[in-house]
Amino acid sequence: MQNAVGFVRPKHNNIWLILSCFIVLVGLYGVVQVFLHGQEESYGITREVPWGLLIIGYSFFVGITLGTAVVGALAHVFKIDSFNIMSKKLALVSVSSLIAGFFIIYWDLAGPYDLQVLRLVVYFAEFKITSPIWWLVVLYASELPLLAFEVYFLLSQKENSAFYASLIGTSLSIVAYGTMALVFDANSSRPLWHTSSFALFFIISAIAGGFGVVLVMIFLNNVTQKYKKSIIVLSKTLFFLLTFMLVIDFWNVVINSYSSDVLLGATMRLFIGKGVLAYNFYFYEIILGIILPMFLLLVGRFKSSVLAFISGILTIVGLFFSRYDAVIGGQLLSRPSESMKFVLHNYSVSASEISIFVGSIGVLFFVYFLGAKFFNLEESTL
Amino acid sequence: MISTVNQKSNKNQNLAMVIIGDRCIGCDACYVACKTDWDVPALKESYRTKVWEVEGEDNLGRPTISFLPVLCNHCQNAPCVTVCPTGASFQREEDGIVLVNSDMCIGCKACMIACPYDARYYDEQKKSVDKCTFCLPRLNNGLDPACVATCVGGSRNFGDISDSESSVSKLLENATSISRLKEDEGTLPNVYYITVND
Repeated sequence: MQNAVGFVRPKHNNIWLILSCFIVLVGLYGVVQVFLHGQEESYGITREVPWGLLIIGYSFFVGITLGTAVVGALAHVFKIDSFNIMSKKLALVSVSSLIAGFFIIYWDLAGPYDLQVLRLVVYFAEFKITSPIWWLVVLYASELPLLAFEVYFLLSQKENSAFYASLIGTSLSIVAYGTMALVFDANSSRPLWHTSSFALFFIISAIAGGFGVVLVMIFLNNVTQKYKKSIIVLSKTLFFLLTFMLVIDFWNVVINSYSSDVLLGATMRLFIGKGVLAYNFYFYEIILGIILPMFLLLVGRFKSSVLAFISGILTIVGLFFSRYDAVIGGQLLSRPSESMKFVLHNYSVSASEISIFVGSIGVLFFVYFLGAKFFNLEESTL
Repeated sequence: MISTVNQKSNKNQNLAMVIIGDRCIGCDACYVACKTDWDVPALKESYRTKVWEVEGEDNLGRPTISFLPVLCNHCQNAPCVTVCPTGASFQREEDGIVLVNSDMCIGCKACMIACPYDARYYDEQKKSVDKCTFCLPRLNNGLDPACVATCVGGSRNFGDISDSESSVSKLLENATSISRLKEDEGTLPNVYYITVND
């Protein structure tokens, strides 16, 4: 049966669709816990650390959206052949990851069962232009249809329309993700976030994550031979992005350690020595997420599809932990007055939060494989 | 205690709390009165006001304990109001009180993050962020805020600092030192900490 924008895919996709449903179901645990006990008891968040894994997850998923959208734009807007890889699949990953982001942030907001998020719609006309979250709503609400249009235009082989959808959608992705960083960045009382490099690091690392996703997709789709040259270009670009991230991370630690801001100085001590975030930062974010993938890419001389695949996975893992360290690190210390010592707060991820995060990964896969079931995602002719 | 505010709030008031630091004995009566009056959830981390114990040293190096009552500073330049995406957090023009309209709150907690004073908490029952209101309903009935009314040491004082004849203005005028918390944040808080010669 022919679809208006493609062909129905073979049945084997159902297996992945069913598997992704099971992953979504993992999220049921958290959803039920919130229903029975409420958010405060179900989540690990506290008065002092009100943003936890669900916010981290949101910044992670929309980061993947940005990264994959950028790779797509390099192909459709800048017409760089090496990046013209599985265009339709990549565009669908962008949309799927954005929907997963919406899913996880929904469970972070008050009264998910009372649909209190609809107040955003009711009071939208308040035009709270000083609020980064208000802008976030505007930008992401605009981005989703644009990215969906990009998928549609790619499927229907409308090159010119795909060009504009990709150009506007990706531009919006960058602005939206920068605004998401601003949600943290705008808090002058939290010096770890309140730096000019914060948004830059968020955007660069998200783009690196997108390159990681593409390398993983090439390997899993068993098209490594076909994209031999692309793997080299992708690997080299990822290496460059990881180097950039390492430089930003390094100088952030050095410069912040010299800061006259006592809160920033104290916060940096969380990341060094025996600080509570030191292991996360050095092992997961720096070694696993940046240095090891760089090393593997070098060892493979940027040609090895297997090492590129592993590097891609590590980059994605590193992206998650960089968000964890940034979001939690900015909240762990406070003091009521200048005359008091800093109070170190605790944040422990709860089982409910983990289940909703895993469920969100399931949502990403589910939306993707649902698209793969109904649309022909094979090779773009653009 | 005689109320320092009028029956109804007038325009151009600048309501503030003036806390005489060394008169606080750390009895937590303010904490209890506030929780009871406003049905603040029993959870320890849910409070609109509390008293911190501050450890220090005297001139001879001996350990000391002093008390620091804290509450929402009803900042003139309130970052919690700026970041709110729906307008649920707002500041009354007539007296500067910062409030939360719980019917508009989506629970994003951006205001909790933005507040340098950790003055807000999330109320699961209301499904909204909540905070000190300077006891606005009590003010409207000609009463002082509950924490002021119950303060046994007379540490907490409340009134309109734009009125030079108010008790709080006189306290500020006669104070030997005046400070506000985290003034370098640029929030222009309306809670003053003073010492007096008495």
